[in-house]
Amino acid sequence: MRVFWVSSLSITLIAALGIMIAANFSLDGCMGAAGFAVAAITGIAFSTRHLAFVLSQAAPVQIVAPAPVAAENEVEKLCRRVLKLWNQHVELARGQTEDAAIALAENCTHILNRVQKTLEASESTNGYATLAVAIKSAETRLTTLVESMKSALEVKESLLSDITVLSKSIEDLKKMATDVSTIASQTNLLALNAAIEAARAGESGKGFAVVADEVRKLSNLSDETGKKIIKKIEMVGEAMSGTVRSANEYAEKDHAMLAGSQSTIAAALGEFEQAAGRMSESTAKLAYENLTIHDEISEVLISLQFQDRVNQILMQVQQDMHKLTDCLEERATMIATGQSRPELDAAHWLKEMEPSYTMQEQRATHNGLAEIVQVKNKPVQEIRFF
Amino acid sequence: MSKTIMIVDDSASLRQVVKIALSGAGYQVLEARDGQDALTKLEGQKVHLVISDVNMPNMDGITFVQEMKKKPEHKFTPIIMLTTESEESKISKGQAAGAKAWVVKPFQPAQMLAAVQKLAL
Repeated sequence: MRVFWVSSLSITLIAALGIMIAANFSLDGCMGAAGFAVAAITGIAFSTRHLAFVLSQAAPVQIVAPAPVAAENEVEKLCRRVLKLWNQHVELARGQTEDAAIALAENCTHILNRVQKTLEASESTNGYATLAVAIKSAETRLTTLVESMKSALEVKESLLSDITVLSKSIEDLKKMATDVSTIASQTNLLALNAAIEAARAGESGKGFAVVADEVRKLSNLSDETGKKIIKKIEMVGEAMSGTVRSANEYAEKDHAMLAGSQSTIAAALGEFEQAAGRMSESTAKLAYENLTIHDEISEVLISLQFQDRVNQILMQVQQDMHKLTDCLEERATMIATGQSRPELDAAHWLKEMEPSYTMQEQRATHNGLAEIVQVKNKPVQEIRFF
Repeated sequence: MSKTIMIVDDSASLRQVVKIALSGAGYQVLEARDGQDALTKLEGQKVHLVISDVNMPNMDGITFVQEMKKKPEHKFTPIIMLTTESEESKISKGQAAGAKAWVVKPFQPAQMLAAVQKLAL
């Protein structure tokens, strides 16, 4: 009989202790919910062992063979009063554990949805492929641009070469202008001699003297013109030399700029490629993390199902507590009306309990074969198909 | 068009777990809290598969399966029993009632999904 009382009292007090422990946990969010469930179950385990010990020290309960009209004993009175209360506490623990488990399951759903959406967004933009295409396109365009710049430079160099050739012709022109001056000087000298000869010829040379004078004037003009040509040629030559000099300087700068542009473009494209590579790695890592989170949530979902198992155990305990309460109430009424109480058959009571179990662990516990199975170690059974 | 699965269980958290396991694969999941509730919700509702607990208030899982099989529109709808029960006698009753598979809680979500994919018509 004592075993029977110990069983009932323990399980009802378990719930109260579970609630007290659970109350110390925050219920804000997922971890709060999980904490509550763990605390309630921990409370149950602790209370079972503790109460089993306390009640084993209590005085034996006289139920089996009471006096026909004896007064209700103290243990019966106490149980009658507290059983209802304990039952309510178990109900409270059951309800709160269920609420916490639902909250936890809903949180899992939200986590899964968010992870899934993130992955889908990452895959839909197809960042790496898009970036790779953009890089290739930029590379083609920039290469074309560099080639155009090279062509422009080649045209410029060709032009410069022509100008250089032209500047060499300036010297020839200068020499030709100098020749003009020399010829003018000799012509002038010739005209002077002709004037002398004309003067010596006297009256008959007067006409020739006029011609010789005109020739001298023309030679002077030719000399001045030759000198002006030389001056102009020198000016043009200096301008061309300056242009060629500047053009050469610019050509060097252009070559340096072209080389710089090529290396800058190559460096920029290289950085883009590296960024694309990192992006590809990130996408792959995200996909891997997503799978890992899915696996971990699967484990959480398995653990959550133990709440259902605990719930069923507690419901069975509650049913039995109800039954015991009704029995004690009936016996109290009998005492109050002076009727004799029938003998309580503990073995029959225990026998009636057994078919109400749904789990192997409950049956094992009932038959004293209980072994403590850690939730995490409980294997998942294979599905049986018919 | 996505297939519709009904989960019948008095535990709301368990229903939620099943919903998570299946909705991720594109199934639409309907919920019922016991056999009686399920029969009411099945009226005029096309479902491709039912997952049912065994021990439930109002109407237990075995009775529910028997009642469901009496309805011509649901006679061939496959049923998976999902329960803490692992007694051979109970399993035999489930099979006799017309269930197609027996799953003992806790289940692996992937395992349940594979079973649903195999059986859903």
